Amino acid sequence: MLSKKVFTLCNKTDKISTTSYTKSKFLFFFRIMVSFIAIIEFASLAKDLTVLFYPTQTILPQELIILQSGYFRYLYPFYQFLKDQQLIEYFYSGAIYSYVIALFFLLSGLFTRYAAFAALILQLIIFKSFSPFNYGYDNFLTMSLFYCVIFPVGRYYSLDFLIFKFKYKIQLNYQRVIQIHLAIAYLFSGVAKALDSGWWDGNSVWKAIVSVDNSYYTLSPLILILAGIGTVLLELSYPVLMYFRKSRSYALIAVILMHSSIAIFMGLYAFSAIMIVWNIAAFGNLDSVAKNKIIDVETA
Amino acid sequence: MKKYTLIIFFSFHLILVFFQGLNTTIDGYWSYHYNNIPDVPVLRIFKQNRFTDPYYILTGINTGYGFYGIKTSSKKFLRLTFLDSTQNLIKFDRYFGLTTSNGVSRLNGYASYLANHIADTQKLIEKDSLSQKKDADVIKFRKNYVTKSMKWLGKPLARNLEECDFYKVELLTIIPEEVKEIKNNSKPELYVIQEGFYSVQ
Repeated sequence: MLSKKVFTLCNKTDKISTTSYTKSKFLFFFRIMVSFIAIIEFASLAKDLTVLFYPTQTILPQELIILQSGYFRYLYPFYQFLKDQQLIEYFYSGAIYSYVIALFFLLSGLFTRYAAFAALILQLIIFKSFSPFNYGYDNFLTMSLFYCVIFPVGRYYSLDFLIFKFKYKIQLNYQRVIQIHLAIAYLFSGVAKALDSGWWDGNSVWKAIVSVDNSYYTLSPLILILAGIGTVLLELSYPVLMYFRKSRSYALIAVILMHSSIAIFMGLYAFSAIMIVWNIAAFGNLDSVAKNKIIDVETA
Repeated sequence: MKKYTLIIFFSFHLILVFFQGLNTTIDGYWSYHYNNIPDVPVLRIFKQNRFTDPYYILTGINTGYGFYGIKTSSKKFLRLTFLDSTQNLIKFDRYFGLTTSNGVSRLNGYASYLANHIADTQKLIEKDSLSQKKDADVIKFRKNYVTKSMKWLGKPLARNLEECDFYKVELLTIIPEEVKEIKNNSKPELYVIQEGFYSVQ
């Protein structure tokens, strides 16, 4: 009786999660873009890795960096084990090279699932070892790599496909997972901002962008107020705007513009890039992109 | 069968994402406005705990989605001042050996982390004064953490500078904090949140 009910529920959920999307293109796009952004971001940090992730002479002693983080109880025994086994000298450079190799394997789709899993674990070890220096991008990259492990991202347009000749039928609309995840993220982001009066009077935008290293303090308060209110409204209504076919393309353009502005004004390039990739992967029509039509969404 | 297993797995995963977003938003709002975190039994079931912690970390969902929401704070900076034996200024440094824009951006994130840590310690002190100083050890530990962190931040660079005998590390924030207080589009000034003065030896 119970199993029948569970089965019926699964059937209903299945209808929601299955559409006529070109799922293979979504999986390909997601894999390529996530690994590409991860490689570029890591390369942009390469010169500073010896200051953040190295056995000696880091910006702070490693124990002090991780002491107050939630990862201390995992990382401290791990590094102690490496020290006891006298592997610590080799570990840091080994982890860095292995991470880059895993990302290139993921990019080319060679042993994709294993490569994604290796990249996920190494990304966690490397970046959580200097977790107070982390920001939103690092968490979204972890999520992305986790989805690359779970989703069959290496089944299409990959070296795995060429070598192993998969005959694989996609069983699920994985795109829906990203869509729901994004809807939840933007909804709560919108709620959090709506609860702060600063987002309605321009103060929060001003605080977020102004620095002693730029001249954004000369921006008109009217622009700051409009940007703040626009951000709150867009994020709050994101799930609704994306649900309806008529508003989806406009909402997608607005979100891409919002993240492009974040990249320009706040310098958060990697974060903006990964959010734009998630949005295009979730709600862009990748068939249309291939035909040089940027957005022409099919599903409702 | 595999399909239904995946549907159940992703449904459960997205429920955790939803409750993590809900919990962090409520906690953020309550801790800012009321200096505590509400204890709602239903929400507690889905809260990250020591049993579910590894899953949250592995999937990356151990984060809120506030993105500068609730209470946006102005940018924080760290500044290192090198001084000679008579405590005369040698030079300033704001990058602590970091050379890439990515690294410098992460350093500014660390400055915000330290500022939040100091603000949370201050809240704890205020709370503790009302509750018979139960958290005295925690407060001492948190204060020491900031002092030691600031000391270590400057030490390697100060050691490498031959004529440097003392150094000062400052945690700075931008003022004014309200857009309406800006006068004549003048460049924002900096205010010291905390500073430490140390000897190289």
